[in-house]
This record gives sequence, C-alpha cells and structure tokens, in this order.
Amino acid sequence: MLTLGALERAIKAAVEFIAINRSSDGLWRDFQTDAGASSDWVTAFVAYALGHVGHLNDAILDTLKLLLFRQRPNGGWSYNKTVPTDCDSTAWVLMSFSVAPAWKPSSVVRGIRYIKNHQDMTLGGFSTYSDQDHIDRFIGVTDSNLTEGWCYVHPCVTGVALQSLIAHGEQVHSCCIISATKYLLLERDTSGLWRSYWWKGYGYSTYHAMRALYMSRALNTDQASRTRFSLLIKQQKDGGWNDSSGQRSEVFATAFNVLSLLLLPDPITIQAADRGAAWLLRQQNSDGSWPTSPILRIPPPMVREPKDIEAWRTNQLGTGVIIEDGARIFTSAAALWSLSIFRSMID
Amino acid sequence: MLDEVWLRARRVLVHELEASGLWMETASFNSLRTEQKGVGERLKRQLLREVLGESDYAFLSSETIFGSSNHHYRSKIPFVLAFGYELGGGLYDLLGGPSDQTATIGELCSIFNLGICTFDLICDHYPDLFAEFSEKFNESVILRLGKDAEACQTLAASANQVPTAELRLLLKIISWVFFELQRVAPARRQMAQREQQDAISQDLSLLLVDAYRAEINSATSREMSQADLIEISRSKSTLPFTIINQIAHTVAAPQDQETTRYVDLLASHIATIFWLADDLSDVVRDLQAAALNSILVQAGSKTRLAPDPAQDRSVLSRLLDGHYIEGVSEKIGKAISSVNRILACDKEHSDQAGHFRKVVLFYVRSWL
Repeated sequence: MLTLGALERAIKAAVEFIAINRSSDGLWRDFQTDAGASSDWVTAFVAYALGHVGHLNDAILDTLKLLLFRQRPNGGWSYNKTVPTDCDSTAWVLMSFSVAPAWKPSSVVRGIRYIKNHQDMTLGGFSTYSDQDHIDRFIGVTDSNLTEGWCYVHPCVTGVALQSLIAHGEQVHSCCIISATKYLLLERDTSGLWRSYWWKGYGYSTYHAMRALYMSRALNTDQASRTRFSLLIKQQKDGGWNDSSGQRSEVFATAFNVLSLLLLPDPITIQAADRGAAWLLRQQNSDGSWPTSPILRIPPPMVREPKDIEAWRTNQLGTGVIIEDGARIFTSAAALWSLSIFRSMID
Repeated sequence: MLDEVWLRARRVLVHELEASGLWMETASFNSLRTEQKGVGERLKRQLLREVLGESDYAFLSSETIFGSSNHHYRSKIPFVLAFGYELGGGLYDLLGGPSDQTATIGELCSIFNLGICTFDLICDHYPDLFAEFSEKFNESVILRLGKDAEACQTLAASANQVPTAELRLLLKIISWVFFELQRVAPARRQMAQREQQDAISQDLSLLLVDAYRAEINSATSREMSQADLIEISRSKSTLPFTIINQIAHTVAAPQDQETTRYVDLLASHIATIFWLADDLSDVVRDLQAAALNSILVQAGSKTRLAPDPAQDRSVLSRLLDGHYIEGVSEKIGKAISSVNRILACDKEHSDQAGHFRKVVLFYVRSWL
C-alpha cells in the first residue's frame, strides 16, 4: 500500500516540474508535429488537469486569461495559433474554464455553439473538424474526401466534447446530450472499452467516454461492470497498464486507467488503483516528470479507421505517425491528475 | 451584455465594500483561505469519514459524484464544512454556551451545512434523484426524526440499502445530524430549562420543515407574483442560517434575553448577506439556467421552461440600465456594517467576536 507521504512528495515534485516548464508567455507547449508544437490545446489540457485537482491555482488563472483572448472569431480554439480551430481543442479550453470563475460568459456561449456545430446529427458523435474549419485548405487539399477521417466523429473527441457541454450547464436531457450518449454507448467494444482515433490505446478514450456518460447519468455501476472487469484483468503484474499491443507498462495508459477505475470506487478498484499509483511513483523522474512514450496518433487525414493502417512510424513528422510528448508535460500532467484524484479518495 | 452584467455584479459590490472598509485585503484573505481550507479538510478527513464510512467517503471524493457539478461540489466541500463549523461554533460562543461544547456544535453545524448544500444541489439540478429521494425523506420523516431516536436509526439503516450513491450519502448525513441533535440536546435537559429546551427543539423541527418546503418551492416555482418569488428565494437561502442559529440556541440555552435577541439579529443579518451575495454572484448563471434568483425576479425575469433569448436580453438590459445591482450591493454593505456594529458591542467575547467578523468578511469575498 502506498504511503500518503510518498504520494504527496511525488505530487509536489510533479507540480514543480509543470510550473517550471511553462513557457515565458504563460502557455504550455508539447508534441512536435508538422504544424509545430501545440500551445492552446496542450495548455488547456494541463490547466484542466491541474486546476481540477487544485494545483497551481494562481498560475492556472493567469493562463486561462491568456486562453480567453486566443479564442477565434468563430468561437473555437485550436492546436496552436497557425492551425484552424477544432472541436477537441475548444472542448479542452471549455473544460479548463469550468474550473475557474466565468470571467467572460459570452466566450463560453460562443465556444459551446462552436462545439455543437461539430455534432453529427445522425450519428450523435462529435468530429474534430467540420467543413467550416477549412482544415482541407490548411493542409493543401481540395477534395473533401481527403480529410474524411479528421472530419468524422470519434469517441475520443465525443467524450471530451460531451463533458465540456455538461460542465457548462447543457441539460443532460437535451437532444444533443442524449444523442451523444447513445453514440458513445454504441461505440463501446465487446470488452467494454472505447477505442481511440487520436490516441494509440484505449486508456484516454475509455476514461473520457465513461466520465461523460456518468456526467450524463447515462451509465450506472452495473452497466460499467464490463469495463471495470476488463480494466482489472488488463492490469499488468507490475501494477501498470499498456493499452495497445505492447508488453511494457506505460505512464499515459496507466494514468488514465487508474482514473477510470476510480470512477467506480469499491475496495477492489481502489486496491488496483493503489497498485497503479505505486507503479507511477516508481517511474517518476528525479525532476518530477514522467518518462513519455509514443502516445498521440496522427492518422492520414483521409483514414477513418486507424486499424486499417498496418505500420505506424514513431516520433516522426507527417501523418501515419505516433508521437511522444517530447517535453513530457502532457504525460506528466496526466500522471499528476491521476495521483491527485487517488490521493483525495484515500486521504 | 452577459459579460457586462457579470462584471458589474462583482465590481459594484467590491466598490461598495471597499468604500466602507469592509472588503478583506488580499493578504488576509489568502491567509484565512489557507486556514479555513485546513479546518474544512480536517473535518472532512476525520468527521465526514466517520459519518459516511470508508466506501462512501471515497465516493464523495471521486470524479463520479454529481457528474455535471462534480468539480464544483468536490472543491467546495472543505469550505462548506468550515463555514458551518465557524458559524455554528461562533454563534454558540456568542450565546455564552459552555466552551467544552463549542467544537461539538461546530461539527454538528458543519455536517448540517454540507447536508443542506447537497440537498439544494439535488433539488435544483437533479429532478430524477429528487423524486427517488423524496420516497425516503419528506416532511413527516423530518418531524419523526426530530423527536424519535429510533427514527434516526431506521433512516440510517435504510440509507445503507439505497443504490444511488449520492442519495445514500445524503441520507447518512441527515440521519447523523438528527442523531447528533438528539445526543447534544438531552445533556442540557438535566439543567433547569427542560420545558424551554423542548420548545426550542420543536421550533427546530418546524424550521427544518420550512427549509425543506422552501427548497422544493424554489425548484418548482411557476407563475407566482414577484413578491412571492422573492420570498421563496429569501426563505430558501436564509433558513439554513436560522437553523444553525437555532441549533446553537438549543444547546447554549442562554438565560439572558438580550443576548438571545442580539445573536438572533446577528444571524439574521448574516443570512441576508449570503442570500444576496449568492444571488449577485450567480446572476448570469441563474439567468442562463432559468433558476430562481431574487435580483432577476426584480428585473422582470419570469420563470420559464424553455430558453427564451428575447426575455433574457430584456432582463439583461434592465439589469444594466436600472439600479438593481447597486441596490443589492448597498443592502449587502449595510448588513455587513450591522454585523460589525453588533459584534463590536460584545465586550464579553471580544476574541470570538473578532474572529467571527473576519470569518464573515472572508466568506463574503470568497463567495464572489
């Protein structure tokens, strides 16, 4: 069993690492791609991960004020200032705003409108880009079929979009929420997990889908038992998880699977989460960060099903790649989030 | 307009309080924030864990509880507990109750305050949960719990069987509060004021029924006069303070009528401050959610079942053109000044009165 002291030391070191690695302009940056490093999306994720569990409150508020003024005229936010706006980045910014005072309610109203414009009214899910975002123009293609995958609905985007809408007061009985929850429930695979489009494994997607469904009151503990069972049997002997085809436990997968188990607190899941948290503590670097691995998948824009691609290149530019967060900020924020929730539940 | 109303609601109140020297400066605010968070976290870790048991205690801190309000609810818990603790223990001290009971009253009021906040959340935002909850808890149950220890045990036992964790948790809190109320009151009954105590306990039960009704009325209010809507809003927000005051009276049993009157007046001003501060800080959110808010009612907002952007726009215009926000800020300022004056007169408990004053100013600022 983890000691509270060890957990608190790990959390403190991680908070310091993330604080030190904020850029001088107040944003966090990570993931090098053809479009450069992400600023707005990564910042929103980190701000939410920390703000949600009560770390770096003053720094987070300063950062959120910066994000507020980076909203584009269409109401959305983007991966960074050069890329068109997208639903996922906008959802993360709204999530981060949900842990702060609502300084500018109109900004949230426009953000919500932007996200809703990315819902497929037939399928219920949310896409990363819509036609109005002009991602085709940005990547230099003229045929809309060539961006079909990026403009298609995906569970990993829908889970976060749904949470962001509910966190800002969208009624769980509204058509928008009901159709999105139906989509997520349909997308759950036979083992009760959710596959991802933008992420290598099921960890991120499963956690966000489950949390969105809980927020919508569309999933109860009985319905979640299949997911619980799968997460428990997939835990490795060392306490960590690998959420794709690899053997070695990985930090990002472990962080999100611990968070998923903690959505279903009972003595067994808490014990498994304890083992996962202990594994995370053993992996922490001396500077408070965690080692990264290739986690973010960038499918070719026309590909709807990542499983159709047999060979992914790792840590390279372009598409058809899986890349790591080289600055280790994203992975470290996920691990910190997970450990902080665990601590609050046992302390 | 939305942004301007949000800003003005804060700006006007801050200016009003600054001008009267009632706005707590940032250094003191931050220091008291750390202190109050510490008080609340200790109450959570020790007392609340005992009230809920290990597994429901873990659920209380999970990301699952009250899904859509999860962050807000979880992050507020230490402050809700600390506020109830300070208020209950503070009023009890000012009533001159024996000091060995102060912590007990503070703890009882801290859990009561969490219970009322949880009940408020269920009433306002989770109608399906409320329907399920009212099968277990209603006015007749409150009256039974007020006089019958066995009824508390029955409620506690039935709470364990409730499958919905949020409701199980609230029922455990309620049964604990009533059980504690009965446990602390008889100790005083050995003293000479048994009849007086019984009357106060009965008053407490009736107040709890009134608070229960006010919560339900606020969630279901439709087509009422402006005056009735404002009264519902007032009752809903102020009755919990009246109850905490009554709990303090029940145990302190003050002999001196003047002390009773002065503490009652103090509690009434504090209730007004937080009722109006709450409505002021939530004015935009309540407009967006079509929730009952006395300032919006004054500005002509009508209850509605579906979004009505035209009505919202005209209410926002009236809020900006009229003096509703200024009027409410002035009332809050006056009520805080009254609290200060009353506390300054209490020479017998000047340390407690000084601390109590700081706590009130801290929570006013943190409300915004």
